[in-house]
Order: sequence, then structure tokens, then C-alpha cells
Amino acid sequence: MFRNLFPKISPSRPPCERDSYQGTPSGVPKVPNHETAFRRWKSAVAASPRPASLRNVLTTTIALLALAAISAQAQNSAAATADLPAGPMQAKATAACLECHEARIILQQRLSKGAWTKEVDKMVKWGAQVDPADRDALIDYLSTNFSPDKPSYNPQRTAGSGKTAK
Amino acid sequence: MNSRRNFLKQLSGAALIAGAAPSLLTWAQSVQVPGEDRLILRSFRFVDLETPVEDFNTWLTPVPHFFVRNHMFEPSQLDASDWRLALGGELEKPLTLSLAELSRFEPHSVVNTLECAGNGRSLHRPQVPGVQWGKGAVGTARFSGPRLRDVLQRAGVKPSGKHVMFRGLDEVPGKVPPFIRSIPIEKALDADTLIATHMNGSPLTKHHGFPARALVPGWIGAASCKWLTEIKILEAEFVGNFMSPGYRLPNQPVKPGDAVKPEDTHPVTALSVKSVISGPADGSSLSLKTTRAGKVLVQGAAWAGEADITKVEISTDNGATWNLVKLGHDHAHYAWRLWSYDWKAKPGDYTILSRATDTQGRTQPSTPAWNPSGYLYNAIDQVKIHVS
Repeated sequence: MFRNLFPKISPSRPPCERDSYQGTPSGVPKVPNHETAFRRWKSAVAASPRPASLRNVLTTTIALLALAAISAQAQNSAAATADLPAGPMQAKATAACLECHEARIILQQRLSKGAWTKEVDKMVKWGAQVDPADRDALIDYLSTNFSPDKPSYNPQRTAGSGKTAK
Repeated sequence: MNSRRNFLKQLSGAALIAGAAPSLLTWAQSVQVPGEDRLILRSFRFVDLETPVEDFNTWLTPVPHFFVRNHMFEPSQLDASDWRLALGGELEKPLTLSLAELSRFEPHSVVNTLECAGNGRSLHRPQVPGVQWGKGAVGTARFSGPRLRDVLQRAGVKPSGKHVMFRGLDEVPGKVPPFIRSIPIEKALDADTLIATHMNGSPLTKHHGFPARALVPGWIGAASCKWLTEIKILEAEFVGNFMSPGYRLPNQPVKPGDAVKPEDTHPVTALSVKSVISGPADGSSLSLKTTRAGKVLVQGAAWAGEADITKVEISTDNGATWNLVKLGHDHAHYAWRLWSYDWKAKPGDYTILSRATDTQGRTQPSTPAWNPSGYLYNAIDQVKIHVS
């Protein structure tokens, strides 16, 4: 999608004065990365062209369509499913905090009540809609659920891109 | 040749794959971020992605593996033909440049290790607020584009110009202050400070600041403003949240919990000396039967901002003795050195430590300098492993 936005700049790489890139050092075994794997796969595909029968095309199309639908569903669900924990302040915290950023930013914090108080006050200054009557309850909710003694947060990974951008 | 039966078999196979895929995808719990490959998801909105340390095995980090740090929404509209860079402030002849005009300046390349000031923040104790980066908000790439100096010289900096402000096109939510910062004129006029349009030989991707970003080598990533659209020459440091209280360190060491007055702080600029172990993985179990000649390969990367790495040492006995590692061949002034060490190991449980020293005489400390925002974490790195 962003490829269309790329400027037409000369593809030749400008001369480099300082670096001395010679590949991976000899003592360090090179772990094949996805680029190498993708290049191999591409050359393997190119080396073995197969005549495409209508049935093959149809089967592949059905499988691809199904996978595309699933992948779209997975994108939506996996990206959007991070929720704040249940509790009397869940709805108000969701409205106030997730207007600008998502829940994961909160889920990964492990802070004292004092630190949460500073964060909430800073965010209110930056536009978070918190009724003054709810401020203390919001701080309690965050400092109870995300205190330093809670187990550490386990982040997700992004999917393999399958692309070979350098 | 396909029979009808084979065709039906293929169809049911496709259906089977389609049926099994959702559970596999749910199990994998991965999130699609176009152009990014198997990075640790710190945040999706705004995009903050971390490189797993095991990917620090190439001198240049491939762009899909390069960490991403955004404070705001990425620009919703980016059109190379409409994009302009405005230069103003303390200049003799204020300028506006299109991308084509910018590309006519003599290009220059710098291989630079770019590290987020908050890299390693999650390792500070007590914990501090902010994106809870592990060890991987760092990467090395060849950045190319005109020197900022050449562009500024065309516009003519007045003697009153002492600081250079960068503004990007990122979009601000709520009443959040815009992400605007400045660097001193001396660093701006350095021959290696760029207006980068390319990364590893390709145009910048959107996550990395297309179509142009500042590249302030050896300094924290926040200095290298993405989606650059305005450069303003100022008489003094820019006044704004991301210069103060943001991105400042206490002048004197502070105890956790100490309040620090703004006048007792200075901006975070150049990176610290640091090494990271990329393998073996923390918590892994290795069998000497499967290793070469009973040796365990310990490897990683080391960098020092504006200084160069002079040595990296490894300890496998909790710091009682230290052994020099072999530094990789590839090097450049602002770039990390890959390193490796063949360790003749005996069975047991170990904590492997790595410690880097640089040309400024700085060595990684055993305890990090705690500070309220968790910047520049650089304690001696460690991984725990079991050898059988």
C-alpha cells in the first residue's frame, strides 16, 4: 500500500565513507533469516513451473479466499482484543484511557500508587476525560491491578511479514 | 492428470486447512503489522515494536526486524509529491524543499546504531512508567540522505542560531503536546548528521519516518525525528514537554523515589556504553553432546553512541574472572560491533555476564543508574543457562 508513496529517488546507494561492511564476522555462525529463506523459496518456485489446470486454480483460489478471510478476522481480533481487567472502573477507565492509546500500554506497567497518581494526573492534563469524582477510584483500580508485585506482562509477537524489505 | 476424486480430495484438503487455521492463529496470538516481522508487540496503537535479542545476529538489522518507537499516531496522509520540508527561524534565506529538491543535495551514508532512550526500562527497579522495553529497542542500519549541514548552509544560519528544532508529521491525540525536540547547532552541523531518506538502501518505510527523518548519529532515537516536515533554527533549546520534563536525566545520581527538580536535570543526548548477549537465550538448556567440541558459543552486540567499543568481556563465574571476546570485522564509527566467544563449558547452571568498555574509558556498571523515567539502562548484561 505504501509502495505507491515511495519517491522516485535514484536507487544507486550513495558512497559510504566510514563503514566497512563485509558480511557477518567469520566467528559468528550466520543464522538463516527470513530473507534468505524467502529468496530460496522464490528461486525454487521459479525453477519448477507447473501447468495450471482449471481445477488447480479453483482449489487454490478457494483455499486462498478462506485463508484471507481467516487472516482478516485474526487481524481484527488479535489487534483489538486487549482489554482492561474487570472491575467497577473498567468501563470508565476504558472510555478515559483507550480513547487515545490501547490497553497494552497499561497492561505492561507495574507501578506504585504514587506513580499511578502522577500518570493519571498527567493524562487528565493531556485530555483524558475523567470526572474529578472518579479520579481516586481510577487510581485505585490501576494501582490494584498493575502493582509491582503482579506477575510480569507477557507480550505478543507480530506475525511473520513474509516480505523481504531490506 | 487430476481425476474428479482427486479434485474433491484437494477441495476437502483446502477446507481442512481453512478449518484448522483459526485455532492455529489463535494459538500463535500474533498480530499483523504490515512490513514488520516477528517483533515483540509493546503497543499496537501507537505502534511500539521491539526486536527480539536473538535477531542481533547481523551487523545491519533488516528493516522488518528493526524496532519501531512512536509517541503518536503515524501521519494519516503522506504523499511524496506533496511533501515539503520548511526551514525557518534564525536563517538568512528561509527555504522550502520538495523531496526532489532534497534529493539533489550530495548524498551521504552513515551506519548508525539507533537506540531508544528507554531501551531496558523494564529492567529498572523500582519500575518506572513508560513503554516497558526489554533489551531490543535498538538496531543498526545504513541511513542515507543529504547532510543537514549542507541544507542549513544553503539557507545560511545566522550567528544567533544556537539550536535546531525538528517537527514531524505525526498526529497528536487529545491535548498531548506535539513531539517536537531540538539539538544544539554543533551537533546539527556535524558532517554525519543527516536528513535521511533511505535505510539500508531503500526509501524509508512509513514506520521509520517516510519520506525523510533526522538522523542524529550516536544519540538517543528521540533526537532523530521521523516524518520530518519543519526545521527551525532557534536561539535557545526548544521549550516543550519532550525537552523538559521529557528526555532529561538528573545531574547527580538519585535514589529511587527521590523527587528531581527540573533545574537539576540535563537533556539525554549521546548513548551509553552497552553490550547485550543475543545467544544463548536466557533460560535455555544446552547439551554439550550437541555443541562443537564441547564449546558453547556466546554472542551478542556492543555499542557506545559517539564512542567506539574497545573491548567486551564475558564472565561465567559471577564476575570473578573475565575473558575477552572476539569482536566482529564489521565496524563503523556510530555502529555496534557484533562479538562472539567460544566457551569451553562444563555441565552446571551458569549466569553469563557481558561487559563492554569504550574509547571514552566508560565501562558498563554492575548496577544501572536508576532515574525517574528509566533512560539509558546499561547495566552488565546477563543470561542464565543450564549446561548438561
